Amino acid sequence: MRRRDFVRTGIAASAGLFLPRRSWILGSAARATSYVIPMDDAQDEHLKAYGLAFRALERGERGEWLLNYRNGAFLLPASDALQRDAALAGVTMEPVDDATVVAIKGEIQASNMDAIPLEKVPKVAVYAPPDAAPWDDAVTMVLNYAGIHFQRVWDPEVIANGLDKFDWLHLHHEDFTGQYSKFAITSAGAPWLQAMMQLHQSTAARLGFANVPDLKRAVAQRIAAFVERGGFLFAMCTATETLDLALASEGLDIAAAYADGTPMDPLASSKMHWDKALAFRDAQLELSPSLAAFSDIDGHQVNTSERQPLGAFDLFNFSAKIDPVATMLVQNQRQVIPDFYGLTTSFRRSRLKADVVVLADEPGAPWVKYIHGERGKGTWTFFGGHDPEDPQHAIGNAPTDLSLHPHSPGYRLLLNNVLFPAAKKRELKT
Amino acid sequence: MTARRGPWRGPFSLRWVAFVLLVWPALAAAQVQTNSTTTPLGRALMAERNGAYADAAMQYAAILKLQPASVGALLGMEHVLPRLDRRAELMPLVERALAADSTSVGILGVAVRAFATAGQSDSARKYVERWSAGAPKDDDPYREWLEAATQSRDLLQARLALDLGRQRLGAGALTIERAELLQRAGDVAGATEAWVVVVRATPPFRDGAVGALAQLPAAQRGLSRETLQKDGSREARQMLGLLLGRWGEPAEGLAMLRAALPPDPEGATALLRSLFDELHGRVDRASRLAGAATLEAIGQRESGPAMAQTMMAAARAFADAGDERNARRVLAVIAASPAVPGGMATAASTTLLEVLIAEGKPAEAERALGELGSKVDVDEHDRLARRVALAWVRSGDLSRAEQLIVRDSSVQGFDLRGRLRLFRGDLAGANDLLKQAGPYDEEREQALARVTLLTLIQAIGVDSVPALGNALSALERGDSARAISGLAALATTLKPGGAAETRLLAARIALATRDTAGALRLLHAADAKEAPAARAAARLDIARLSIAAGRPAEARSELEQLILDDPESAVVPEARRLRDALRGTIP
Repeated sequence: MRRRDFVRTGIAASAGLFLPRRSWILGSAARATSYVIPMDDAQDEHLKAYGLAFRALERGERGEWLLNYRNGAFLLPASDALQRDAALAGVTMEPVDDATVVAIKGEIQASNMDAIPLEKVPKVAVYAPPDAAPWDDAVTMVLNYAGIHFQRVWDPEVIANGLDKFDWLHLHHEDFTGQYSKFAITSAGAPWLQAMMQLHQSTAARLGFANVPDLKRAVAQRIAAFVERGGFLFAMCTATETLDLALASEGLDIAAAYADGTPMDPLASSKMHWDKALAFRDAQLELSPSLAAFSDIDGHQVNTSERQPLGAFDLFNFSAKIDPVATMLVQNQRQVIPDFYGLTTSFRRSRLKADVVVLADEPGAPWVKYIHGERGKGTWTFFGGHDPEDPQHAIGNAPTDLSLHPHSPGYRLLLNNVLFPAAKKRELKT
Repeated sequence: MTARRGPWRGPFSLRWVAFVLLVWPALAAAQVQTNSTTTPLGRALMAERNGAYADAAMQYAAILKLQPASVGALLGMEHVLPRLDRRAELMPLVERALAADSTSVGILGVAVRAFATAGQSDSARKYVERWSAGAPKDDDPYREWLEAATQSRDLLQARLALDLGRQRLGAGALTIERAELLQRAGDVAGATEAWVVVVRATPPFRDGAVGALAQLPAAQRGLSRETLQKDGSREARQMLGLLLGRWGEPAEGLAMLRAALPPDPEGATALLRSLFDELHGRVDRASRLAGAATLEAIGQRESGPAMAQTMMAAARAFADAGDERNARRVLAVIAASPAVPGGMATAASTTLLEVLIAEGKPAEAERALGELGSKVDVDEHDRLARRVALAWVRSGDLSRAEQLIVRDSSVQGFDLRGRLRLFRGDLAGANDLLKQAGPYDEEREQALARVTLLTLIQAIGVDSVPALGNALSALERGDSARAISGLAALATTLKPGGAAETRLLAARIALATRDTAGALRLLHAADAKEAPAARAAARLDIARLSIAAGRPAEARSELEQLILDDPESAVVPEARRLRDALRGTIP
């Protein structure tokens, strides 16, 4: 070993002596009865802060989500377990005594803020095929990174009414029209596509369905029923658009011949039952089987000649005391967030139902990014795009390493959805 | 228009050509009159240029209402309607334009693209037929159709366009488009054969063809390689040589290319340059050696100063890749050449000096430095002197090393003089000189290394420790075992803080020599509460060793203890990241 190697090996150990490090607990913990977990720029680990709050609830502790206070801070009771958890995760906490808590509550009372009690640990399910890699889906990635426990479910569990035991369901970027994201022609022969088709076809046969589109429509209907019964649904990317297409196409053939053996009904667009859909209406279906696009719901049409460039989207401001749900969903330390592509990137305004709440849009553009609505006793939230930190997201791209994006505002929006079912239910005015 | 275009051309090229030919003159004419907004088309274009697409569309529509066959306005609509999510409005405009003028190339071009994009291949074909009837030898109608279909990912339609064009114009038409389409459709062997046909007909397309095939996924490269070998022609072998360079087999690529070089020197040099351009900048040794050999092959085909320059570059490349023998051989060729100018001879001598240092011949290197004398500037002379001094250190002669750099007052000079004091065990002197060198350096790594040494010196807290000098000198000479045993023995005589840092250093040397058991013992010994920085660093290394040994639970426990005990340590972010990886929460 030569000097060059020696100096290299010694660098990491000793450099720390000269570098001031930031404490993970700011201020004095002497008389702390609670901790504020700031969610503004003082926070070192925005994403893991949600996991910290989630695990506190799992331990039976109760907390509060301080909407619009320091960009959506959490207030959690002091405990050894919380301190240990925060230290390991690197989450910034600020100790506060009772008097400070009272002052914070006063500020909240006097401003467009609110304190929402967090008391229930939501049972979280992610709909994803059994062979999906952990990095294949933004929500799976961020749940893992934040340390929020979830279970995977897929078609067999959904068909067997397995959603009943969950509060919250996220949809992996599934194609509920059963057309394998319409890559079957352009990527024919690709091993990953062949494996996907084989898995879906064998699952459909095993569950007694004639073909994959029939199975996926039945799954979509079970998911809609889950929402009707009071479930919280969150979907991203192409799951948003295709879920509604599957629901609205009852009794119609909207799948290409390679998926179900018969070509799609060329007049399907005019026969759709949009009353069954959650968010969209009056869309025109894409007729070409080789074009990886489903309809004109998506404003960006990433895989077509009508592809639109990426801009940035703005989060809306809501009244925390009047619209707490919408306010929870947009808590963030940034109001303008760079856009990112997905197979479905955005939603054209002209295709939204009248009662849809827009949470974020691109000003001046004919599309919106982030929407929310209710169905029966439950709610759904759709977020366009695939991965907030991988704007182009081409097949084969390296997986996103969230430890390099601990403050990601896009990913924060996903986690707002995970935590909002934990909020104590009360009369909501939205 | 029959000019050929390469595979790198942009989409919808004809549309832009038409735009330039048809629309821009209108705008230019408008500018001549008064300004660019005096004509309706000029105003519409300005609105489009300003991003006011809705306004532009309204103005284009007004023009088309009066002049349905206005190509400029129709092209404008083709641009702006998709941006407004109103593509469907284009089709009736196209039909009206065709009704007004069914032979205009501009209108037919829009019609072909519009129908192709909409997936209406029969209509697209109808207008291609009409267009080609007026220009039966022109391949543009088919190319426009093919490109629009390809843009829409409609490969079946693109194939229709290609087949029709080749049926009408012969097998020599649309060859580039055919190769692209076959490759896009996943027909690797067919695409490879098609690219060879392109290169054989038009040699300047070789780099483009190679660039296209180079993008094949690793799993498909074997088939492409077999296809080129089976073809066996000079063109195929040249392409394979260049491809192997791109695919990480540079030596094989160079050999293949050399065997397929054309007889004319210019052609051969151009091919070798293509390979060198591909290898240039790669850091793996095989690519660097192949790059050096490629430069030498180029130099052998040149003469005069150009030859000397290329051969010098080859010698440096060999030396940088660690092949001193070939570096010296090429330098000898340069030195023996009467055509080499003086400056180049100095450069050759400098390179030779560095080769001698790399070969561990300090006396010969110092002699070469003396011969260089004032032929190089002071800074360069000092730099070379420091390198020769280090070569003396490695040979065990500290005095000769110190003599060479005694007057060097640069940052690097103070740094090296400080290290030489350290090698003698003079920690106080080393501390002074290293501090004089300051916290900055040309390379960050060097500055951090200096900080590391100062940390060690301060932790030991004694003015003179010959045992430390002996251990570090042994390390500089490459005797790691002696350095480790020396540092371990020294640690037993030091206070806890210095002992921990010394053991940590010894452990890192042991790790570098793959003595895991020895390293682990030293790391555990460095885990002392009196030295929190060393303790945290040692625990991080212990965790890494546990991971390497397949004991993730132990590693995780070690990392968590590190984070909780020393939350202020600089290694905590790395510890958290490693813990996340163990939990499977990051890739």
